[in-house]
Amino acid sequence: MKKVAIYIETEKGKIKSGSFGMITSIRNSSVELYAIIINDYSEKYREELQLYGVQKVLFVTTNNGSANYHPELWSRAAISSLKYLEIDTLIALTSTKAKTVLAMIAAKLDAPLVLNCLRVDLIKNKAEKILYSGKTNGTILLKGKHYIYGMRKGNIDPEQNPCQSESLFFETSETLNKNYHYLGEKSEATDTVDLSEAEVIISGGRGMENQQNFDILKACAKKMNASVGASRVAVDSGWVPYAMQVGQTGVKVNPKVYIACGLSGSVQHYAGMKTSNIIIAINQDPNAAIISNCDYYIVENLFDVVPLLTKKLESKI
Amino acid sequence: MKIFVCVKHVPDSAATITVIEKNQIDEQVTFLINPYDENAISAAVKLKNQFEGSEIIAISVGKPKASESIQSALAMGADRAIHVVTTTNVDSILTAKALHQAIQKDGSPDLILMGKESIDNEGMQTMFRLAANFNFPIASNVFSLELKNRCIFVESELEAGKIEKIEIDLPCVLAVSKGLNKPQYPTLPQIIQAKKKKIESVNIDSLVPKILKSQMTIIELSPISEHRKCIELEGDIEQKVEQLFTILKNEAKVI
Repeated sequence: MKKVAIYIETEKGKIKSGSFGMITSIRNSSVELYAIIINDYSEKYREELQLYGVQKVLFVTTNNGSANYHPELWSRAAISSLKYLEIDTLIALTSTKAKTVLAMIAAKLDAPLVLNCLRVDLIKNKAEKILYSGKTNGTILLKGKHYIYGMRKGNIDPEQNPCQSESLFFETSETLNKNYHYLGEKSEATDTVDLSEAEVIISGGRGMENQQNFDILKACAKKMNASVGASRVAVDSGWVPYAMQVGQTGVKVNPKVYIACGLSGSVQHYAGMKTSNIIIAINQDPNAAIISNCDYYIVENLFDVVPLLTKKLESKI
Repeated sequence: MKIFVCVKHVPDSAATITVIEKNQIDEQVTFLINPYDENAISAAVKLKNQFEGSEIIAISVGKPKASESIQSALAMGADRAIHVVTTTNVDSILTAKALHQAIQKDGSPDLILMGKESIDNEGMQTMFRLAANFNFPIASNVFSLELKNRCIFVESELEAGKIEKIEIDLPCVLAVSKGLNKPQYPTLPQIIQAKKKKIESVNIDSLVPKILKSQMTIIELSPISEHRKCIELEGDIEQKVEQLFTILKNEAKVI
């Protein structure tokens, strides 16, 4: 049976959300799944992973286990782990951090890597992903001594498939170059959900008119645990920071519901959100491009609709 | 300081993409310089202004037509350029090897800049491969950088408003994001002047052994078709919001 390694990210004692959906999307009867967790040991992780069909969990201790996340160190430790397990295929979730670790691993091994995969064929070494600004679906054939994949977040919902699992332990010590110092991370205060992981996104475009009006979207978002996005126009006008931009050159999102408010829906914006399950447009202009490219639309002023929706969400939950 | 900026010639994100011969696109559409690479050039120009005597060399691996994007890079402030000419599409492993060889032949780089991803393939890996080939440190998603005493203090974007901080010594590779700067588009005199700048053409076969083949090949491409329902919610505004609420609750099941 083919052995496949899954790189699992943990944070504050939890397995990263999205990991179980990723495992659900790759598991099949002809592969044996090994999880790799670096410098974070807990039997709770193994118990959770076995519910989703992971048979072995390798707890890796690197540089005495004291080290915090460091992409160089993590990529070296992962390579040593693959060698130790004699596994040639590695999969992770395409999160910002994991994609750096995966790319560092692929670069060191001169191995093929495909990120943001929709589907993978672990036996034939093929991956499907979206290419050309969201306009085509491409199948990529990987050749080499290793195969590395990053699955796109939110592809499918997690489904349990319990099995018996076992913890394995591996210690490694890696030497780091002195020309790179990872100083750690900092969290800017945000009160909304991460755009790339949000199940619901409410976005504003030119029709928002100014910075203050985004508070209307934020209030509504809060009532349904949604995240707030924006079009490039709203960002370029200085109403909201770049981190909120959804689109080809912004964040690419994959929510269950995308609500576009006062947003015309340029091709570039569409490229960043077209994989949303349901697209809802609220726009005064029945001729806006988004109207012909959505599932449901309301032709009304967003400043009337959104507060009403907020009220409704408040009263019915 | 010798700054190399890697640029890619990509289809305009607004272009209509037509699939031909099962796994290729019809290239008779508008191509332009990869948007993130413009941020990389702007960053290079800013550094050149700060550090006198710096030189900016734009470099691109691409088909003959990639010279158009190289011209854009020159108009935006690169001093000269290297075009590694290919006739077929090559993967990021070969691209990085070709870039590595071409840059090394030209001299010792202090800094190699490029965009954090290309909008056509979104591979997000060439920068890491190039860094590994040179054994240089690398940071990606860079939205702020400050160079002092041959050490760059970098801030990179993570998710959900989180950022990471890295101190990285020259020589290094940095892949930049949109948030770094607002590229200044060239003026007509800059565009005209750029035509006089030198572009050195090198064939990829002289840099990468022919025996090496792409390890990532697109074997199939299919257009993504849109099946959106486009249903208008009707009635008075209260009724419209009521229907919207029902969709969120019963169809999407998100509330």
